[in-house]
Amino acid sequence: MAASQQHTPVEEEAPAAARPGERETAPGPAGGPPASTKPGTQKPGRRRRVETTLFTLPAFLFQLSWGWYPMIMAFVLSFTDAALRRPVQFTGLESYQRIWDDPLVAQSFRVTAVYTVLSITLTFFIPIFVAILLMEMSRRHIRWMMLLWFLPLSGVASTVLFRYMFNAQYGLFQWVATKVLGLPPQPFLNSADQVLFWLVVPGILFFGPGLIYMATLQSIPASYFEAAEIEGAGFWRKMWTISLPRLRPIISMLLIFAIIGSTQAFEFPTIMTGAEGSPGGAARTVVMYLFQLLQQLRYADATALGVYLFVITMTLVVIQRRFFREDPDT
Amino acid sequence: MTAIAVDNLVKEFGDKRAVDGVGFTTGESELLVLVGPSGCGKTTTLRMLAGLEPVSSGTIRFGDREVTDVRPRDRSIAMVFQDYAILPHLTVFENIAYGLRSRRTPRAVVKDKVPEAARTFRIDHLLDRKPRQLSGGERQRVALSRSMVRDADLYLYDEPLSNLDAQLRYSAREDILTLHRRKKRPTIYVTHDQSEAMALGDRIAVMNAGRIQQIGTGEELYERPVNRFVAFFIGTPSINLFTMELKNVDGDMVASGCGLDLRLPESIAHRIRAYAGRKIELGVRPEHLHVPRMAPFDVTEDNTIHGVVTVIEPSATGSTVYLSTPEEAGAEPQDFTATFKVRMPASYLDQEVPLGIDLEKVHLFDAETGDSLLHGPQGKG
Repeated sequence: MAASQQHTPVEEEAPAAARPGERETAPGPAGGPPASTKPGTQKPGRRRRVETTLFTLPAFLFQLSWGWYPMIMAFVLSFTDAALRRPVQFTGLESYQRIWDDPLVAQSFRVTAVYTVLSITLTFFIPIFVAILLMEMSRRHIRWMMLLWFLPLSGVASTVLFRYMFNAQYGLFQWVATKVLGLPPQPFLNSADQVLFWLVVPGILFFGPGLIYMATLQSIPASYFEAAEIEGAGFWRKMWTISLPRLRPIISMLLIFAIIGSTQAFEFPTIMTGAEGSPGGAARTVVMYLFQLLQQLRYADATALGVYLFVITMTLVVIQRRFFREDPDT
Repeated sequence: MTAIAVDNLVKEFGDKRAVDGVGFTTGESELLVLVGPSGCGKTTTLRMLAGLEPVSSGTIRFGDREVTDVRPRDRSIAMVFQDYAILPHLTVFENIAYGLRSRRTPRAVVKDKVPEAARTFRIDHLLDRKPRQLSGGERQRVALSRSMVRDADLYLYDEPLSNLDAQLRYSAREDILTLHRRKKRPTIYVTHDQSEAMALGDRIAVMNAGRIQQIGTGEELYERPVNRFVAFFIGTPSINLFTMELKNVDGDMVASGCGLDLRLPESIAHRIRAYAGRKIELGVRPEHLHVPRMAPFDVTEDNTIHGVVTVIEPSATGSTVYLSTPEEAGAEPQDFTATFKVRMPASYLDQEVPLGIDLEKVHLFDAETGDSLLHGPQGKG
């Protein structure tokens, strides 16, 4: 046993030294791992090209018919009157003008903006710190917390459940407010000032990036934290110099998803507050209003509103990419 | 005046004892190497010294201070990790300065110390780079520099050379010794490579199965191993072991078995007379086997072993020869190894050759316990 111990360093070196040589001499077989062959050193064979095309074709067709075609058609449609029974007429920017002047549109954008800011500050950043704190716990606790976070919950079911919790008469939240905290009865979703806040609160519990953060944190080599500890770093310094920098690419990616998700919020506010976004449209997001327009058969206006939203979301994402430059060192 | 004193250290993982009563002390500027096969508990011992692993029982003292339950950051230690543990998103400068900044060292001092340490390890031109742009050897020197800028009471190394190729290992050893000589502080170095242990350690502690088998200088371990494990672990190629029986033949002690009858010289015989009739293992180091005409002693019937050459491995300084005892010798053939200072011609392959055993230098172990019959457990022999 001891003899093999002594020989291991030598044995380890030999294959390591041989590997680069192999890579150059051995022609990569079709279907071999493409990652191991340098890009550009060999042309993909004919067979490879056919395979590549066949594999990507379904996804390409799907994207074309359900992604790009509707998008382009919506864009085209927004410059017409989108009439159903007679030939479509080009109307230029008329729909855009009408949407621009619509006070309900302005309101829905305000609602969406507040909702986005609230949900990103409350549901996006809090899980980062919760995840970092949880990682300080024992292994057993970490596993339980991950399980809790990962519990597959039906979106609609938990949403309906929350509607009961928020109920102004017999909801759980009302009980906590009046019986536990001794406050006067609260309006919750019925208050135009509070409705957006309360819509965001469940997301703190159920918006799931916490799990992704924890998975990423667990992939950080333990020696980084150990070395930092030996070098005298405390909890905050470890978080600031190791956890957060290592999480950066994930934070950046999830932030994009969060921005897109909350600017397009629809299902949750609709189920919680009704299609009108009551009270008085205080919870009516842009997409909810867009849906309303569709129901009124105002397709041209709806598509124009969609284009506005698209431009704004795109701008936010571009700005976000500027701030979170991709860093090859992380 | 900080020397390290470890007493009866135990670490249990579940019901498995990874470290089972380890104790040692180090001198004030001693480099002690913990060496042993993987799973022997050497790294766990080191991690307990660093405070990264809680101690199940036992005590650790740095000088007068007991640190058994002290947090790593309050222990005043510096450590080089196997994977170097340098942060990929920080520059070399910031990596080296990490510990100084954690301890709120004044900027001016940081600006002074970091380039100085980097210069010692020839990476001062890389201070603005990120670790990604460095070679393995350079990364390792970043880790050494990070230890260099600190004034710790104890310096720890966890197999720091195992990710380097053979050439770099030698220069890295020099770098580690440079650091050690500058700091003149107790240093514990963990490795599984006994030749590295020999090259670096003032003293070496050989560990197996959670226990220290023997502590001593490389020479002591090599010449006076207290048990079979130490004898087998130290030295390449490993010692040859033959299971034999001790006999008292007309007052001479004779070891017989494996088709051999070896008459032990008086210097050894007088210490083992009580063992007559018992099973032993006889250990012969490969370099104590000699071609008869070149042997520094008389080769007779009583100290000759015959072997069929199976492999000849030339080396820069001679050759390593793998042999097997001939089948007609009346016992199971047994493989053994010999090293010669001369090249053995390939024509000897598959030939049977007689070799003289330097019986003054053999080791004897109890076949059951593996303890040496010649050298006591304190390594004082």
